[in-house]
Amino acid sequence: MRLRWGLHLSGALMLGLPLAAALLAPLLFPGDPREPIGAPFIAPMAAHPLGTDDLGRDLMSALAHAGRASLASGALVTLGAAALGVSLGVIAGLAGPLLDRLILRLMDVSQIVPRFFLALLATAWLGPGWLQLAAILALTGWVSLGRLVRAEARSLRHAPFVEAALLLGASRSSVALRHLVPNVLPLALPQLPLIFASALLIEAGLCFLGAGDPNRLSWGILIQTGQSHTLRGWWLALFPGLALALTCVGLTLLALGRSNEADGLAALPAH
Amino acid sequence: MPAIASTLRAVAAGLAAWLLIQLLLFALVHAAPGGPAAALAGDFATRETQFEITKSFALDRPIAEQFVSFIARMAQGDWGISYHFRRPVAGLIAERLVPTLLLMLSALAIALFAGRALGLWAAANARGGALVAAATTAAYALPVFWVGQLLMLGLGLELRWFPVSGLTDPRQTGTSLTTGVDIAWHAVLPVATLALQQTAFFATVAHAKARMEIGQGYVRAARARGIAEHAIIWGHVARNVSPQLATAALNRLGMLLTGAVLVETLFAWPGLGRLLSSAILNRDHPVLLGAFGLIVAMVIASSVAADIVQTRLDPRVAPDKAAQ
Repeated sequence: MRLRWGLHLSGALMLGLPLAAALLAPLLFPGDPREPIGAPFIAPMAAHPLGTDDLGRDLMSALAHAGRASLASGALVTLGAAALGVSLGVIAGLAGPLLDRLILRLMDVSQIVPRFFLALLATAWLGPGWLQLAAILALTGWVSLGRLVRAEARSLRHAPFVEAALLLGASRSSVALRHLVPNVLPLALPQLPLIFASALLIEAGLCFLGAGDPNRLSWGILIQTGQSHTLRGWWLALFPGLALALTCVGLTLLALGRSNEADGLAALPAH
Repeated sequence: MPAIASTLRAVAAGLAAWLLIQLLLFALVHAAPGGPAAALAGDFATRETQFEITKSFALDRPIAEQFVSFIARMAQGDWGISYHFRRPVAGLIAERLVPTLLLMLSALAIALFAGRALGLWAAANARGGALVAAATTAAYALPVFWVGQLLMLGLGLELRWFPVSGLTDPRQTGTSLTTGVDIAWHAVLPVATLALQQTAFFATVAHAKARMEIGQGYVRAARARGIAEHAIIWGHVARNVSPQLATAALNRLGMLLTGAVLVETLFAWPGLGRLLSSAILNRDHPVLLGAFGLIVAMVIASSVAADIVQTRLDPRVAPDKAAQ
C-alpha cells in the first residue's frame, strides 16, 4: 500500500514540472519562443537557465511552449484511442460471435506491424502533419485497451443485472451505454497514462529520425535539433529529452500505482 | 498429428498476413502524391526525363500487374534496383542486415540474462524488491535515444572511453582480427543503450512471472523440505520463468526493431533501420518495400515461433489455449 502511494506521488511530482511549465508557458515566457534573443549556443547560465539553441533562441521558453503542443497531441491520441478501445471492446463483448470475431481479427491485424514503423511510413507519405500522426497513433493505439475491455464486457454480459436489463426489454445499445461502459471504465482508466506515454515516445522518435512536423514547435522538434547539435551543445540534447523522460516515467508510475503490484506487465507502454 | 496441423495453420496465417500487408504497402506507395519518377528526376527535370524514368522502371504498368510481378520476383531473390543507390536491393539489405542482427542479438542476449537476474532478485527479496521492480518498469518508459545520448555525452564525448559513431574506424585498415576488435569496440555504446531498454522490459516480465510462481504449491513444498531459499529461486523458480522470457522476446521483436532503428540513427550504425528510414525520406520504393517486407516478415515469423516455442517449452499450454 505504501509503495503504491509512493509510486503515485513520485509519478505526480515528475509529471507536475513539465505539465505546469506547459500550462503556464504564456505567462512565464511571454513572447514568441521562435524569436532569437541572444547569441547561439550559449551554455546554461543565469539569464538562460537551459542555454540557447543554434539560432540563439532560449531553450527554456521553447521547451515550455513545445510542451503545450506535445501534451496536446498526446491527449488527443489518448482520447481517440480510449474512445475506440472502449466502444469496440464493449461492442465485441456484447455482440454475436460473428461481429466479435471480426473485431478480434481487426485487433490482430492492427498489432502485426510495429506502430512505430507504421507511423513512420504514414508521416513520410502523407506529409508530417501532426493531426495525421495523431490519427494514426489513435487508430493503432487502442488495441490493448480494446482487448481488456472486451474481456471484461464478456464476463459482465452474463452478470445478473445485465441479463435483467435485457429481459426487461432494454435495447442492446442502452445496455452497452448505461451498464457496460460505466463498469469497464475503472479497468480502462489506468491504461490511459500508458497510451499517452507511448504516443509521446513514438512522436518523439519520429522527430528524432527527421520525420516530425517542422512547422509545429514540439518536444520532438527540439529533440531533433539536439540530435544534430549534440557535439556543439550538450544542453540541447539533454534537456528536451529530460522533459520527455520525466513525463513518460511519471505517467508510467501513475499507471503502476493503479495496477496490481505484482503485475508490472500491465504498466508497460507499447512502443 | 494435431500439433503439426496447428503449426502449419499458424504459418499459413502468418504468410497470408504478410502478403496482405505487402499489398497494402504497395498500394500506399503507388497512391502517394508525386511518386518515385518525380522524386528521382529532381525539381528541375523535363517531362521527357520523367517519362523515361517511368518507362525504365516499368512504373506505367497497371498496379495489380506490378504487384504480382513484384512478389514473383521477390520469391526468386530479385528484389529490384534501388532508385537512390542504383544497386540491387537484395544485396543492399543483406549488407545492412548483419550489423543490425549483431546489434539486436547482442543487446537481446545481455538483456535476457540481466533482466532475468534482476526480476528474480526483485521477486525473491521482500525488502526493496518491489521498489526495484517498479524502477525497472518505469525505466522502460525512458526514451531510448535519450539514454543513448546520455551515454554518448558521458562515456563517449566527455570521458572518451568509447567511439560514438560508425561500425569501424575508417582510418584503420588491419587484419580481420583487429577489424573484429574494432567493430566490438564501436558496438559498446549502441549495444549498451539497446540492452538497457530491453533489460527493463525483461526484468518486468521476469518479476511478474516469478511472483506468480512463488505463490505456487511446489515452492511451498520445497520450502517445507528445507531446501535453501536461493536454491528454490535460482533452481526451481528460474526454470519456470525462462520459457516466459523466451516467448516475450519473440513476441516483442517489433519493439526491439523500433529501438534498434533509433539507436542505429543515433550512433550512425550502418544497419537495416537506417536504411529503412532513409528509404522513406528519399522515396526509394524498392528499398522501402524490401526492408519493410523483411521487417514485417521477421515480426510475423517470430510471433508464430513464439506460439510453437511456448507449447514446446511448456506442454501445459495446449494449442487452443495459446491461440487466445
